[in-house]
Amino acid sequence: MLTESEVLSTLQMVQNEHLDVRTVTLGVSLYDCQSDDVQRLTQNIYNKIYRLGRSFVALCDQVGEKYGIEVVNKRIAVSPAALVAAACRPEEFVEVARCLDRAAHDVGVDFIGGFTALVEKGMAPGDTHLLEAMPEALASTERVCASVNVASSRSGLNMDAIARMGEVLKETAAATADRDGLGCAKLCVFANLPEDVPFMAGAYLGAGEPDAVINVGVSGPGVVKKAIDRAVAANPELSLGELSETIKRTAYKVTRVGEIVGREVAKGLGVGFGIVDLSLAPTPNVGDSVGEIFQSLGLSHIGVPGSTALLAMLNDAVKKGGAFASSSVGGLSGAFIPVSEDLNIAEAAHQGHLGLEKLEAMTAVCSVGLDMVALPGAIPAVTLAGIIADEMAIGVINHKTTAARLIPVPGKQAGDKAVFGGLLGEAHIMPVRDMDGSAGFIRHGGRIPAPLHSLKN
Amino acid sequence: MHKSIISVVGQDRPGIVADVAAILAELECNIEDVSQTILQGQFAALFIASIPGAQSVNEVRTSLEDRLAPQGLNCVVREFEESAAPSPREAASFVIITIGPDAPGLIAAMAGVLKTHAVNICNLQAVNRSQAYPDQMVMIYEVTVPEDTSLPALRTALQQRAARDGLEVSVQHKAIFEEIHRL
Repeated sequence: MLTESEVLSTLQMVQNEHLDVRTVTLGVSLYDCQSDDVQRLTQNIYNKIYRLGRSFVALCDQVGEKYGIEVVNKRIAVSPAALVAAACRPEEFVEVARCLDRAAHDVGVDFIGGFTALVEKGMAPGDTHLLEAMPEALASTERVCASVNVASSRSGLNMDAIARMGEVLKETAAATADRDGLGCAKLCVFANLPEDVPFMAGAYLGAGEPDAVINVGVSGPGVVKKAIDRAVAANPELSLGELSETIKRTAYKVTRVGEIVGREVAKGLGVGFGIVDLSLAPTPNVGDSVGEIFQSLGLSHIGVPGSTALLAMLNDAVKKGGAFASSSVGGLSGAFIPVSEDLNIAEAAHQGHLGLEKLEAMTAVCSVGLDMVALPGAIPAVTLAGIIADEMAIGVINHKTTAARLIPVPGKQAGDKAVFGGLLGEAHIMPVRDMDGSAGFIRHGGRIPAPLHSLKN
Repeated sequence: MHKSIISVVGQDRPGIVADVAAILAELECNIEDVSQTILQGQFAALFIASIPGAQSVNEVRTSLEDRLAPQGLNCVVREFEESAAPSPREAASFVIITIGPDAPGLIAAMAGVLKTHAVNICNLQAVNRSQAYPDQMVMIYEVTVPEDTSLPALRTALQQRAARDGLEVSVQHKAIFEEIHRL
């Protein structure tokens, strides 16, 4: 028999605290779709995605209804397009992207990830062609998400690829200028990109993954915030150690929800269950914000002194609770601080409490990085490359995943508003100091070597 | 060896279970199963006890009534028959929660819908003045839903009926509560 508190606290999490499953992501391997003929390749890709995914969305909804937990997004992640379509020319890569978009539309998923290249140590022709196709591919599709891994702790930083990504970002923003550079919101640059991320824009299916797999991304910043609020209301003198325990216990509950839903969807589809990604993923709604957690823990705004320490504590507590809740933890598994996707963070940035440098510092202790950051449209490609390189260096040196999802908004300046819509939200453009100071460094190109793994200081 | 089912109801106080158990022990009855609760200060318990062959249910009833009635406790004692119950249909456990203003007939309304859909109520709790919903009546029904009952149809029927009384209703599989709160 359930107790009253077990029932009512669960109900409150769902009804008042935005507890949901942020994404159930179906991974589909496309390696067996390869062909030297692009028509056959795209037909194979479409057929396989449709065959595995046609009942996926309905099943997610059915499982969500059964447990009273909404599955907010249903997504698909595929093998890296740069490998699957390695022989394609740039214009054929655009066809591949459109095929992925069509398949995503026809099975009813929100996004499909995997227009991806892994270039941390160098670029093959397929990678080069994919990057060339990227602006048009993202501009002419609705649901395709792209990611490029440009660095890793074992390989170092591929500065040629990073320089190229600065240009690709500019081109992609230009190609979607009428939508505030929306294409860049679907493109993420990574260091140490995991093979099983269920979240966009980084979701793809790694080479070591099964033919089909279900990975789940939970949510829950609202649940964590309310748990902290209740604990502090009951005892205002709680120490940070005790509050960290509160976060840990809450993360446990949120993770359990993700796992039960994910495993049931996997079983229903007849595919394996992969991982739960523990990331606290906000939405542009009041009460569903990572930024609000900072205020519940006593900071006036996210970005003020103390923010990095607080985020380190939050991230660690989430990981500990999640790791206890599930033996299948993966993906990014930390707190997200996407500027435009979190009302509170967007507002803190607009009011000047959170600057780009502090944001970057915070990414050293969380996942995933400089996420959904709107930048002035006039920013040079080399400066974008400099920002990306800085973020990648944090990941490479700290053996963690970091990413940059930067949107240089065409025709707009710092302080102007950029609107991306839906889950991607809106934000005022953040100022960048010294937009013309990086060219000489980026020009050198080559590879920043992998770091020494001893003498850790 | 046969069995009796015994219910005891009355004003709660320390020692009721001790008294009932002592009487049954004197009669060499073995308590096999028991469920006890307290509602608004009232004690209620159900015992299933085996009776040695020499005793009859009437003797057990008489002993209990004679000694419990002076203490203001009512008891009912019946022969317990291991019924040849129909083989249970495959069913899943769900939790139905209704929240809203208290009024006569709320349970009758919900239970009526459940009955129509062949849903069995295993546990029912009324929660008044809860911290989460201080001004409302919360009812928690733990039920089993037969596999051949349409969950969407059940949910719709419950919601439509609940709306007439200004109630919000949720229907969730029991596993979600256990997964979140229990190791």
